[in-house]
Amino acid sequence: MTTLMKDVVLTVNHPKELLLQKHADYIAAYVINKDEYEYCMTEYLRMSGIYWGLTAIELMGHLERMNKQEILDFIKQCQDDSGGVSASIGHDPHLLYTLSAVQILIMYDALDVINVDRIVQYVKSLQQSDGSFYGDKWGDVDTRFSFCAIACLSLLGKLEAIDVEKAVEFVISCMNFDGGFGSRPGSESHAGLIYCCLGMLSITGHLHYVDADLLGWWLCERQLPSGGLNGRPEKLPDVCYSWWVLASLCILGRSHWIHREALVTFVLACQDPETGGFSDRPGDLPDPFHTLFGLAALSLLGDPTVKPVNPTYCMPQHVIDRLGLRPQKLSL
Amino acid sequence: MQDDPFPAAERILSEIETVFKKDPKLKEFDIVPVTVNHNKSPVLHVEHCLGLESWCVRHVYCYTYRRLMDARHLRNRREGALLLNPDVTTFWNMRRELLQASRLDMQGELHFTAVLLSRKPKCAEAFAHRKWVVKRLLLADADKDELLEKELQVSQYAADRYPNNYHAWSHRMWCLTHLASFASAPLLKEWSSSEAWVSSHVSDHSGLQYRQFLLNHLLELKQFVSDDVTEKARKSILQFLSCSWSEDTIDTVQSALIKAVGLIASELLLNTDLILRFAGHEALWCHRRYLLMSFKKFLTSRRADMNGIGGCRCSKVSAIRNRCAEKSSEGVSALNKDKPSNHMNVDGVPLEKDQKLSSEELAALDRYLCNLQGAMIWHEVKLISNCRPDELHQQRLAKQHHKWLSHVLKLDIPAVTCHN
Repeated sequence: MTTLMKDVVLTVNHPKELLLQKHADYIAAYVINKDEYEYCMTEYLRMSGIYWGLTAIELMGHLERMNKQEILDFIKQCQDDSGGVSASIGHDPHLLYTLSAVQILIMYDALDVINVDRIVQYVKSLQQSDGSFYGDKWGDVDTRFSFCAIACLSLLGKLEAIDVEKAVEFVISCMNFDGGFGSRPGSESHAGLIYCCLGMLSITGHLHYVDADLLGWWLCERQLPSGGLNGRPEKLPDVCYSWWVLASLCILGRSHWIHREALVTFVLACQDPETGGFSDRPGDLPDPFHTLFGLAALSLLGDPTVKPVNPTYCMPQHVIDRLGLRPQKLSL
Repeated sequence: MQDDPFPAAERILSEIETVFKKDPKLKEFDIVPVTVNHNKSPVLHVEHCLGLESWCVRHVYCYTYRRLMDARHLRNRREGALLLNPDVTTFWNMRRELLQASRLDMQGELHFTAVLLSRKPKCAEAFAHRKWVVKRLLLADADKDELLEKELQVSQYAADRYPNNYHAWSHRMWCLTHLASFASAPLLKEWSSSEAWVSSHVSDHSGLQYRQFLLNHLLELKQFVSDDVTEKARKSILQFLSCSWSEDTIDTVQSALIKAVGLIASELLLNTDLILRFAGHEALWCHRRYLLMSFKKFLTSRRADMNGIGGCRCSKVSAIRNRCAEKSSEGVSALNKDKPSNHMNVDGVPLEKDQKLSSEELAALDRYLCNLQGAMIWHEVKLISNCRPDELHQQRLAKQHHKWLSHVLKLDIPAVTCHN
């Protein structure tokens, strides 16, 4: 008796072409068509939601379909006395949403909407003596926050405000035997956290600490027979891991270690042909989060109809170029 | 565009709060699929379980969300809000503000998050909140052992309810770090109890990775509290070395070394057993990689520690390896019977750099370590050849393992054909 592997099965009915127009319509309509309950349920991450939608639609070349002024006015109201930015009006500031806000403002080239110095102070105040970062004043430590802090400050051109060496030291202390990274020292390797740690090391130019072959090996083992990628052994494939794993491999210069065609097939199968948008796996309901990562993955995989995306920042490459940023990438 | 303020919402939220206040044994919360409002309370409280009928969820949540956001200064508790949407960080922040103002109590918070986790066992915010509360309780001189016990229980509860529960296991590791300071007794207790758990959850990569965390810390210990660790270790090593016909005893080997090798050897033997019994579980094979990497690293560093010995005698190793390969087709050789041991050095004092062994003792130790490496290779060859050919997924994993052994661990491993 053969054990069934955890994976999905693609069928002929799953979409095979990229339905770009549908996705642009999906994102443009998403903000408006919200019912009260869903609105209240998701408000706590609104700033990131806007970043996902905006980046997705910009990669499709339709930024003009979003309401720029409304978004800028919204962000302005989300920076509080601490200098940090919250997910939405009335919510508390946090590094996650501070980064999302900065990413949005950079894409719109509108940093003047908030007080940049206060943001820098806020981020700096969250660094701990071991180099790690709290997510907010309440003290949770996670390597995701290291990425948020470093990415945010580098986009603002203010990396020197924090102790970069210590920050790197903490992230390296989270490296495991398999070359991967977890949320804290000793924690399990996880593709999302690997992306955050590699992104952080890429921005600070410290990728030489990584065993690229060992980690590349682990990352390419995320690919399943369906072509999709999972985030850890024995988990189901998910389109967002197509981004985190693939972007990580790109940073390591080993993106050719996965089967590109198989992954493209999987990502395309995750589209919802009726409503537009991508879902985590074929047949599920779409959302802006998975839509961004599906499109970004296709961009990394070389689809010419999607604008080039930067694997370190998950932002349009032309925006990163405009800032003069050149995050480190390894090559074989 | 708001719904008419739902008049029953206040009453429903108060009822939820009352349940928490009145039932310290409350253990679970869930939304119950009752879609029609029969004009009675949707709050159910039966056998220490709290239920909320699904018809009211939208209305109650929208109401409480709006009220909390608009009237934060009123400092209401509103368990209902978090029970229905535990990811809202700001709501957790509000509770922390109440705790700081002593308007809520810490133990009550631990109870609340435990009930919440029954419905959402992988809620990161709930575990973050528990860490925050535990840190505060530590500052107030709470009993560390009691706290640890409770946290381990809750982590296990969550791990049982959701496979590969990252946050539950990460929390467990955090608790061992902050509440037990890696003392040998709690580590060994966890080592022993998690064995049963992983044996019945062979797909759970997180559970297995927890054992890696434990093993890392156990290997760093200079001393172990209990002596029966030594006995168990000796037995494991003998079983592990059963392929070896070496005459050497382990007399001169420090017991700290024995304990370390014994731990890895016993875990490798357990892993082998699980891989063969439960075919096709990638998590088990991943765990094996960790064990082999640790073993190899341990052996290499031990041999480097031995002053003046340098590398092993290669010809001796290949001789052992060849004999192992020959023997693999004969099945497991008989266990070495316990030999009488002379000049036993059972002190448990770790090998110090300035503790000089005689050159004979060093040579014996070097042979012993070589034997272990040879045995390690023998076990890999045997495992791969024992994988059933009709189990396709297992075959794939075995083949991948073989590739990993030569490319990553850089072991000179012979090609293997499978058995029937």
